Amino acid sequence: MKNKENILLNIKDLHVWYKVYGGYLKVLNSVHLIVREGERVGLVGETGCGKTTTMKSILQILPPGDFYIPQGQIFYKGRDVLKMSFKEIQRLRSREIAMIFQDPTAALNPVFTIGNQIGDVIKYSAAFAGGMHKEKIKMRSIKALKEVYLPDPERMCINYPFQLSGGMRQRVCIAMAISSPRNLLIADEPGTSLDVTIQDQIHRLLNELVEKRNTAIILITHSLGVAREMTDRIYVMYAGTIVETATPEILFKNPFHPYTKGLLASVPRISGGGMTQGIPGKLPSYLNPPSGCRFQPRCEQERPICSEEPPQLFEIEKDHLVACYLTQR
Amino acid sequence: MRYSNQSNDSIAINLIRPTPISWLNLGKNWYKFSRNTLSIVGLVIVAGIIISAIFAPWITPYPEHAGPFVDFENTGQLPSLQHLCGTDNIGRDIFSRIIFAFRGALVMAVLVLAIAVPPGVFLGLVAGYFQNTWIDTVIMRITDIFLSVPPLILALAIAAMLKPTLINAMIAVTVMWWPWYTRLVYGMASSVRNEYFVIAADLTGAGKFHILFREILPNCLSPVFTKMALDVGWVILIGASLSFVGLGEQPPTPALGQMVSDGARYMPTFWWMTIFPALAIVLAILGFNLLGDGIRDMLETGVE
Amino acid sequence: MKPGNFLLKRLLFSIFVIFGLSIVIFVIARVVPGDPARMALGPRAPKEVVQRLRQEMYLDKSLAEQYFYWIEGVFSGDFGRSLVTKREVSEDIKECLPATMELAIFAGILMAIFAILFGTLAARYRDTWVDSLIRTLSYFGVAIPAFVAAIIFMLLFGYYWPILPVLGRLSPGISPPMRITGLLTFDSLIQGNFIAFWDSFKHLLLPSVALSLGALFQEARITRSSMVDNMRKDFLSAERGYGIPEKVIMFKFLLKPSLIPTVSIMGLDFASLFANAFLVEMIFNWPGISRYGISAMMHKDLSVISAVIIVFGAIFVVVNIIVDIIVAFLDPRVRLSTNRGI
Repeated sequence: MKNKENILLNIKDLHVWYKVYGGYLKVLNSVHLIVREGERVGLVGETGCGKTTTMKSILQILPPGDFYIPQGQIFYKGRDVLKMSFKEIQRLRSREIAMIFQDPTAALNPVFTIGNQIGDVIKYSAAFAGGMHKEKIKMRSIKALKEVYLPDPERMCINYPFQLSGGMRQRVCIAMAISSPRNLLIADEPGTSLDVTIQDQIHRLLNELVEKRNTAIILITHSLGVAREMTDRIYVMYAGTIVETATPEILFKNPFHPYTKGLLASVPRISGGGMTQGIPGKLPSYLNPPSGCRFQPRCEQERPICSEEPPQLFEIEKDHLVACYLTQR
Repeated sequence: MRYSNQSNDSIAINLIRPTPISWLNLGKNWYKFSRNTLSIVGLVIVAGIIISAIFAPWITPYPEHAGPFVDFENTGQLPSLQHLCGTDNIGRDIFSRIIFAFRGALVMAVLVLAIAVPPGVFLGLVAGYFQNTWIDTVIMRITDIFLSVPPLILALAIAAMLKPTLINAMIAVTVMWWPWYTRLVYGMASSVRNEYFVIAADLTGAGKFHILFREILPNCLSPVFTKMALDVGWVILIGASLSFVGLGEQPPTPALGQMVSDGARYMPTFWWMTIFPALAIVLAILGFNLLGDGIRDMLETGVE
Repeated sequence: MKPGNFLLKRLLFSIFVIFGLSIVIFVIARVVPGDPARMALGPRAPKEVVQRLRQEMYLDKSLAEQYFYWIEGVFSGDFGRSLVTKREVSEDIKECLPATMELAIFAGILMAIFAILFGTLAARYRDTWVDSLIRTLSYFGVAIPAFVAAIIFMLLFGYYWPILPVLGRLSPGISPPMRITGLLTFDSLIQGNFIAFWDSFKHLLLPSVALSLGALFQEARITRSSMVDNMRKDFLSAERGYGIPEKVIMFKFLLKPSLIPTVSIMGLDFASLFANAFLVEMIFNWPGISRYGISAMMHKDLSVISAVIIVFGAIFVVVNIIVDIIVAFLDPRVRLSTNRGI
């Protein structure tokens, strides 16, 4: 039985910059995130706020280009990923952590069969354990496909990605991620590009898998509702920073950060109440981010200190941290 | 309900024609162009060639050598300060002749492109817009026929059958050049015509003319310009290949390919008679290639 | 079922193209000023002889009739008679086509191997000295036309460093192998005649390199850019994220999709090799069909010109079909799309 108190992943003060014409896009600015064994963590934020970048940094698969990590550490089981040797990172990727991408169509290689792709994932994850027979690989592939409830797995193996529907492709991606036992799954907005009913199915599938194997999962979503249902802890992200984190009950009962409050207010309620209010303004430029709190330009309750220094995460009650100067009276 | 942060007005903006190429955004365009030093090198080379070709009579040391001129005393001189590239078999200064040869080459390139590109582009536009109708089929099949003959062969065939002059060589090359642009533009036009802003324009009653030229065309132009820059180099090459076998400019007007072939007879002792014109050809092609690459970097956007 | 359909359509289309081509060439050839019969016999021949030759060549009949006679001949392999060599054109072609074919095939092999090699290296070691070196070489390689390269080789190897022969296909004094395919290297090899093989191979080297140079580097750049494009794609990150080792990613998952544009270009370039070989053939004294065709053009030897262009067109078409087959093999979407997927 995994100990829910043990910290599996600890991202500390992560900064990630991306070089472009005119300077650097300071995409991530002091990201803190903790995932415990078996915990289901939700990462919520709008499109473009840096969720995917954070996850990709964990696995060190930021697209080849000009990414630069000026500061920060990512501790996995106590060891800093950013300082790991290549072989250790390989091991991390093939046996510990797996990521399910947002767009399943882009995430599957179009010129190879499904069976080929899953087979290779299994084959190389087993490489560290001494290799595996072709027969066994095939069996495992089919088993993985069955676990995601794909019909007729044998036939699926000889199909190509373009022959499948979007929902099926997403399931294949999940199958690849769970084909070997992992300690941490990262699901990047699974089902976002599909229609809502399928999205719901995917979420339930993930939930089931995670509970069955007691795997930790980071579920990225832009929907607070989904996060509420499916996670044990929510991190709210804005413009490359974590602004608030709490368990779902506390977060929904007692939101503190103005952004979180704004998010909650924009969700329409069945019980009526007229049109909802959005949050005026838009994401700041990453090229010249506001000094100080990144939400400050859109915040109605700002104070002078908000534009000077970015606020640090501060625990306002048990299990509830907020990065905002409003916490100081 | 999907939680989306897009405000309502941005959806309407997507339907309006996307911002056209910002010519005037020189600062940013220059940055993009100059990021690669090679593009600057290309620009310098091309500028050098063009300027020296235009001002040839004034800047070459022996302008009269590009015409009927004979100096039997000075034949076969090694390259020296007086004759930068040496002299040829009848005593003419090779350097001056090369510069003059560039004139013919550039004129040919400019004219060929000026004549071949507009119809090619137009046909591609039309074919792309009327995609999957008989217009498309007819245009593209004819294009394919022209494209199925290796370009050099067609040019040679035509040039050989007509009298060997610069004009005829140009006609030959023009005839086989336009299909490449048709195919290029066809590919782009047929995908652009399915974009929302074109459909929107159509729905709001815009005429075909307007749609073709104001909506679709501007979005197809970037690769056309890139290709044109690169093509100058290739036309020069084909021109040189034609003059190598005696088609195109006739002596005494100098032509690069002809100089190479004439000089080849005197190898290896008088190597400069061939090598320098050959290098001039290489330099020209190189310059335009680098320039074309720079233009591509500038016009065809990456992720910025 | 589907691939068969696809192939059939291409085949029919290609035949149509060749026919169209033949008409175009025929018309151009006949429209050109100058009397072919007169040109064949020279300015001194008496009028009656010229007249008789005109009748023989059907020049007095209508254009359409002439075309039919010609096409008839083509189908039975009779392309007419060359005005220059005075032999059957088909005989001439049978002699010189294999020479060019040998050249083109070897150049094609060079192109395939080195373009992919250089392109992959440049992509793998992006932005390092390897990449810059290959890119610089590419710029020069592309800018050096085949005939310039040929001349430079002549200079270098013909006179300064005579380690490689520069003229013809076989050194004098070496007896050629029995003719089976006409490809000297191949024939000598399968007959066990290693002396002839080595000699003909040496003769083959320089012209092939000169011929393939430009195209090779162009293809290398396309390979590189195609690979770099695919490197940014999500599926590569995903595969890497699953822990698949770099080598496998490079040589399997990246290579296959990246080759698709490269192969198409290679096919086009290969087909063009046949025609563009003429300058190289002239310089290296290689008795190929390109040289034959071009000199025919100079002499306005109409039967030969038409025949040669048809042959080139046919080669082009065949190569295109083969390329299409290879692309279909590489890209399952082309092969199997019953509907236009996503």
